[in-house]
Amino acid sequence: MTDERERRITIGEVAIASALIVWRLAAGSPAGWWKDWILVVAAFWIFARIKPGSRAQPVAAALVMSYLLGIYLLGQAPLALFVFGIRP
Amino acid sequence: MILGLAALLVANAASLLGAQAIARRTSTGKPHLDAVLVLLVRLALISAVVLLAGVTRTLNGPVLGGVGLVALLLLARSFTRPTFPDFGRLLAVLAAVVAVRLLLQVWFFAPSNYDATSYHLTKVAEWIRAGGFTHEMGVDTHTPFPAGFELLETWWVVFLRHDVLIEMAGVEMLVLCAAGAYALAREVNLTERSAAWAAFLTVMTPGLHLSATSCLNDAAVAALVVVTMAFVLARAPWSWIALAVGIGLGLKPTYGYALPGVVLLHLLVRRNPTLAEPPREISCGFAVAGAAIGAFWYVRNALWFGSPIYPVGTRGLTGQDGTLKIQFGPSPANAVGNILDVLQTRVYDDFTPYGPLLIHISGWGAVGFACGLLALPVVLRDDPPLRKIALAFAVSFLSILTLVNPDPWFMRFVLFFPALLSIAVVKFLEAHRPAVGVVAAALAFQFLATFVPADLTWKEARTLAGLPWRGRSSAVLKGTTLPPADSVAYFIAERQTNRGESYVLYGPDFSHRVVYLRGTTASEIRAELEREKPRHLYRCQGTPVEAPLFQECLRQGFLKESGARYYEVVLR
Repeated sequence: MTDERERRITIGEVAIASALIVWRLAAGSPAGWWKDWILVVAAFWIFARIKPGSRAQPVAAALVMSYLLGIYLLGQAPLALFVFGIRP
Repeated sequence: MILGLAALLVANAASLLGAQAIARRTSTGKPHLDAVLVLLVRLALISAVVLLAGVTRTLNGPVLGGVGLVALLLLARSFTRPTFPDFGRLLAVLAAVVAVRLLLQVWFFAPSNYDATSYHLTKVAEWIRAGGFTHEMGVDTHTPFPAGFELLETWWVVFLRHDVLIEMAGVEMLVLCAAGAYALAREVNLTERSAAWAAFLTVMTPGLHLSATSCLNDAAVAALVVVTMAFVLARAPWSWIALAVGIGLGLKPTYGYALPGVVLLHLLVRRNPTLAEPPREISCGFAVAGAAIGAFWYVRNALWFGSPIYPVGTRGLTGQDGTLKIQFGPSPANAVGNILDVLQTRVYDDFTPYGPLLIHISGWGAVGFACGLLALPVVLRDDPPLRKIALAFAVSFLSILTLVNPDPWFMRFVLFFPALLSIAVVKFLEAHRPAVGVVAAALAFQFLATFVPADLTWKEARTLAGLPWRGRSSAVLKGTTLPPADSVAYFIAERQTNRGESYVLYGPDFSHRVVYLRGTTASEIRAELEREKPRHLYRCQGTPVEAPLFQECLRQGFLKESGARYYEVVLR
């Protein structure tokens, strides 16, 4: 791909991710933003495109995934324990 | 029992050898595709044999075992040892642990899910008892649905005449799903080891994993969608695709709902070189087998009930209370609602524990949510084949969500989607190694949380495990016992919105006859009882004793309560 084409794709992806962020900020209540996975993924997507070769990206990915895993476990882990007869 | 076990082993060995011999004649030189084809042909052979035996009323262990023995003797010399790719030691150990756990789940679980005990397995029970296909399939409105997966379940019970191994049918489909995901991953240029990890992550998806041992057909449909996508992406021979599509349509119409994505993928890769076509007789054989296995149920319904999609009509299927149970045709409004529901709610998996029905959850698991959804948009950029696959999966996903009712359990119709997320995760990890630990933690959670499904709690599973295997039945979990006599009538007041548990009345060895009552007045029910002469009547768990029709039966005095929702039939 040419540099110009690469640049256009990057702009397109950042635009899509930004639109997702705007949608979630408009549609969700501020109290729920912290656990909105679309906001998190869109923000990371923009970061990955703006800083494609960044050495911080793998670590940032691990941190963001950990955050999402935390959100997920808050919801499913108590339910999973319930199946085993454990009430947290 | 020993003879039955021998027949089971012989017939399974014969089907594998037969599949291997047929698939060898159409080898593509791509081991990952050839392996999928062997599994698919075995599935086709089993389906064809059970279909044929069902139609000719020779559906019993000795006949099928005898056929298997002859085939085995003819094919014994053709065996070639399969070569397995390099999984790496860690994955081999993990896969072995999961395989052992699946076998234990098969052994200790008994069919308990209401969909299974109300309409999927009642067919199997009637077929086994009659030694062939029967008009009587149970009283549930859903019994006429396509029963391709039930053919495979029948295969796993017919030799022992016992349902202790019935969940093996789902496990087999999970293996097919793993092979399909592996082939798909190889086609998007993952290494053998990475593709194997993608396959492992796919089958560890909680919704898919627990569906496999629940006697429901959704894991089977997911497997066939993944396999079809892999074949189309690889430009496999048209007859392979025809076979997969036929088997898929015979499993459940929701497979057909996913086909727009398959067609799109075909258009996207149509300029890629095709793989070698097999000999004409093989191509024709695959096409005929696929058409027959897929069309059988629709033709049967057209002949028996006047519509290939009976009981669904052009207005869908509604319950007695007028609510829509099954949607007919696309609904843009439902599509938008379903998609928003998935994105904003279900994907969090925070409403119910993992289970086969996925009530208000996606079942995509921690890996899919925390890792897959993050990885997917990032890895698509540099990978054209993966972009095509993602687009095709997205179209299939949207197509299904446009065609299904916004009910609590629609996510089980899109269980193929986690295969894409799994491939994305593995691709992502190639450039983001620090995230491996997070994926490992998420996977560990999923493993721990998939020992038992939501509808069979740990306590209930322990209760089942404590029973001797010959008498292992979920009747005990439903507050009842096996019938006190060898013939029992089944009473359910509302059968369009309520699922029942009539399957458990047959007993795990199918030794009890179940008489389905369809009368709408007490006099009609009495007449049915007089005609069929069951000694007891069983009142379905979902039918309260206060139900007006049941009360009328009690008032007429031909039912005498005998405990555990059983009533002695007293006809004078």
